[in-house]
Amino acid sequence: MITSPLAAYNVTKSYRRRAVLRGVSFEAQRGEIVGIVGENGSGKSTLLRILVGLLRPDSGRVGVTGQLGYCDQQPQIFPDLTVAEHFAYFARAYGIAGDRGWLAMRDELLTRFRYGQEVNVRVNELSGGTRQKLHLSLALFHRPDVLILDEPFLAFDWDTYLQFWTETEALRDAGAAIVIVSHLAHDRARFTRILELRGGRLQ
Amino acid sequence: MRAPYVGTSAAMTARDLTRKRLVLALALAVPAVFFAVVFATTGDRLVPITLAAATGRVTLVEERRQSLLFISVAATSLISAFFASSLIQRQLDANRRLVLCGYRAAELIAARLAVLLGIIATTALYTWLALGLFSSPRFPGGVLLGLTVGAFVYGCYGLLVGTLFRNKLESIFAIVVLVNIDAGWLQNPIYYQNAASKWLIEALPAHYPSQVAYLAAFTSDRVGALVAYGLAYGTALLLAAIALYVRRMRITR
Repeated sequence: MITSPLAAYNVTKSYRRRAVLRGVSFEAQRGEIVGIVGENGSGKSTLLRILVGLLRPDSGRVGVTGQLGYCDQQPQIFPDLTVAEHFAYFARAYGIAGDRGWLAMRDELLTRFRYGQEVNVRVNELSGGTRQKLHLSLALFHRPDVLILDEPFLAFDWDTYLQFWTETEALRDAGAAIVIVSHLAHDRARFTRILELRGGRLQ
Repeated sequence: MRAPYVGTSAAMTARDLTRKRLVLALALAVPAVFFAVVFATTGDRLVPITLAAATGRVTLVEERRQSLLFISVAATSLISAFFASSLIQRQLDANRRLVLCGYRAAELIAARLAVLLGIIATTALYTWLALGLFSSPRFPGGVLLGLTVGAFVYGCYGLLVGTLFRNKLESIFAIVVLVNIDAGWLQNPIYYQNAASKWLIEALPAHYPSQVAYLAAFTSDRVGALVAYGLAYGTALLLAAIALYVRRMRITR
């Protein structure tokens, strides 16, 4: 029985004959920031895509409890919609568009991440870093119980990087379980623990 | 199916689409270019045509009028199919993220269908009005109905193609080939009357819409049953597209 907000048991995945995951098991508890590191091609993104449900494992079980926030390596956003329209669209998806509070949550996040005049700008007119910021903001703004991030800060400037940690640590303190995948783990002290994916297994 | 979810997605999809100004301009240009070419290359001589739905009866019609009508069905079919496949293929990963966040795949495709119906109505109306500048059909409302059903059937085909293929190139190929062979060639009644395998022509997507448009333009025959067959054909394609789309967007958690 899965009791943690995020858990994987004996997950395996192969692409044709190449085994990428060979029985990965781990749990993330409330109030934890778990880092998953590994070399390029070690299967980190495959593991995350299985955890969120975008990919089916060959065997094993995965469990996510509560609201999920997910930020893929590539920005999955709409180039011809504005920043504000993205928030409205995702508020509907999260089921909070009918609540009065979501606009305040959005505005707080917009202020903290210093979007400024870019709120009404279309994504295809934004810089790469701001697109990445929007991509991340959409995973954060409904205050998820489980947050899964794949290389979330590669395009950030220093201030945005620091703000990223402020937001993530606030969510952790509120009881969220957080998993961050990166091929490089800076600021190791910010993680509760760091696991390395090597040879298809977490160590 | 949750109506507010469909409404939000339809509004965002429409905004996303209407911001592609060049695409919209091209959509307006296609019927105009088709009409100009047909107008320049046809004359006013009378030609015999055989309509499948008129039990093989031979009707004498003006070459230019019949060609303009024929090309109208082809233009609306082509535009509708292109828009439909684009609606499905645009930002597929971002749409899958929406499913991950709480949308249902059926709500996303319902929103696209709502936008597509707007495109179908606009395209058919625009083409019909342009056709009216060159030709005066016997029952103009019936011709509009034929163009609308044609755009619907090919719009549903476009949705299916957009779901089947991940890349634009394959979709464009699948649309251009079928629209050209079907609406742009085999459904021409001048070709049909001497064709060997008529059953094949009658099985293609543009058959019923073309027959509706031709009957309304040149005869007094009823078109109700043909409209129903055309809508049923389009609905079958639509159901296949929905099933494939839901499968593709499925979340395994």
